[in-house]
Amino acid sequence: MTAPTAPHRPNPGRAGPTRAALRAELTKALTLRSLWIGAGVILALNVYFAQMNVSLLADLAQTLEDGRFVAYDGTVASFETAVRDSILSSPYQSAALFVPLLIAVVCGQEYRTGQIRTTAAAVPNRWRLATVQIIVSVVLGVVVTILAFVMSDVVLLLALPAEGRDVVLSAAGMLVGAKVLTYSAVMSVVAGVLTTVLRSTMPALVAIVAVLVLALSGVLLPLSPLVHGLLPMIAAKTFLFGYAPDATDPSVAAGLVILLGWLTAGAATWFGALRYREIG
Amino acid sequence: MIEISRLTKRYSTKVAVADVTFTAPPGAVTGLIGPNGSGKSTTIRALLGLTRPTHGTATVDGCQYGDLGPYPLRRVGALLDNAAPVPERRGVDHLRWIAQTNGISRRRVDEVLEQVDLTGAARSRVKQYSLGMKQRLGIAAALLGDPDVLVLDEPMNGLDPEGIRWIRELLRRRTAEGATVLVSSHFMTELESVAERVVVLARGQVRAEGTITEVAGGFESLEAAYFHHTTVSV
Ligand SMILES: Nc1ncnc2c1ncn2[C@@H]1O[C@H](COP(=O)(O)OP(=O)(O)OP(=O)(O)O)[C@@H](O)[C@H]1O
Ligand SMILES: [Mg+2]
Repeated sequence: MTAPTAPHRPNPGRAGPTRAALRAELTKALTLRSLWIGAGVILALNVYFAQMNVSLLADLAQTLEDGRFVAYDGTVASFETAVRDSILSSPYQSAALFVPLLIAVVCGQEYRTGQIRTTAAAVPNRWRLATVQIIVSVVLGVVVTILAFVMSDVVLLLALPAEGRDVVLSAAGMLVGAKVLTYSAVMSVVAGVLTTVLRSTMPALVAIVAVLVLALSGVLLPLSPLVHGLLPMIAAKTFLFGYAPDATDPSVAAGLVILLGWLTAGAATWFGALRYREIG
Repeated sequence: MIEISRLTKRYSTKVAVADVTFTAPPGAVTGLIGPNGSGKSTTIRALLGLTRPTHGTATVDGCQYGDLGPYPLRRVGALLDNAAPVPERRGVDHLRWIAQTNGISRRRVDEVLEQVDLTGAARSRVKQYSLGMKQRLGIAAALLGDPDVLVLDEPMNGLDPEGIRWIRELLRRRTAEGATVLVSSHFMTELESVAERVVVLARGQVRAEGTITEVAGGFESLEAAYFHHTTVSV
């Protein structure tokens, strides 16, 4: 080992402590190899799904009469709706499942090897720590979703017939983008808080998938449509697609309120878990 | 100055630390010794604000860790038990994020890497590090803020003889400059050569405390005193 250097006074820097902690938290995430691999896989899957939608839409465009077609369940729907749903479908899948899984991996790094102790000793103010962790989770989730959304739009723009392209670029097309970002922010907080409370990635992954299975299978529906509607994926469905696919689904406004409820409850629990539970 | 005062930590099934009181004065290395499970790491975790004491206090310069201000690493550097770096991250990045939390410059990261002789391995992932290299990385993290108080939980574990000599010299130099050092260790001979004071814990209680001469007085060595104090029930 080398001889010591002269005693060093660390550069105090001009960043306030919260900015300093935020920067550190971002560095922690961005220097994690699994983040890059995970984000890469999500974006690749997303392009694949968008590509599949394109071929479905292309087939659909062949059967159009007056811009409308007969859906598999016999109802008549407009081509515009089909395109709008396609814009959403792959980012929606990312936001519902893949982004939360990614956030659980990133937040779980703290608990894999006891890094949380180093973190807590470096940032002893637990409110500050929770704040920066929540911000970074939301930013990561939203950025990955934006990339997914833009990439799937690009695929659609390149491959769709002209009438489809107009829908992609319309205000309605952009609005669904904003909505899916809201949804991914909520899901990022939900995934992060689950990981923080359970102090491990694996159980959090299981919990996320379990909630998704509950939502998709609809097992709660016969027991209580209300509880079923409170699941974030169900609340998000109407909110995102702008119409209620099932009669029991909450309205658009109710969906938004439920999502914001999850966001608030998730953040509050995150604060509570770091502030009141012992790190040990 | 580190002051542990009537510190008690009770877990649901057991008492890890019971009514422990001792001080680690500035300008000296204080050794914390005791068998596995005697409460050394628990005491250190309480000092760092990671564990909430059931009773009593643990302070640095009269402050609880949480009251040291937003940049505590500039005052206290710690090597903690059970707080390993994430294996998939590169060594330099591990130090970078820790430095950033406390507004410590990037240049300082390179300096401490140089000090612990990890400059060449800085860009390798931690999973490729040997036991001793991981230990050096942890010590580098403790040195980042150039703190006047060092709290090191078993810093010699895994170090090669050269590394042990280096840390001995580091601790001597820092205490000569007035630093306060609390070191837990199982290496009696090593501790005897570097520590001025020693605290012997057994079953969560202080069995002996004082200068090495006081604690080892009447025994062949610190090791003999250790066995006496930790096996004979007091
Ligand atoms: N989170 C916990 N829950 C329950 N018991 C705990 C917890 N942490 C520590 N203990 C118990 O407290 C006692 C003291 O543990 P501690 O880690 O402080 O010992 P130590 O002196 O550092 O031992 P070692 O030399 O092995 O590092 C042990 O019996 C341990 O089992
Ligand atoms: Mg220990």
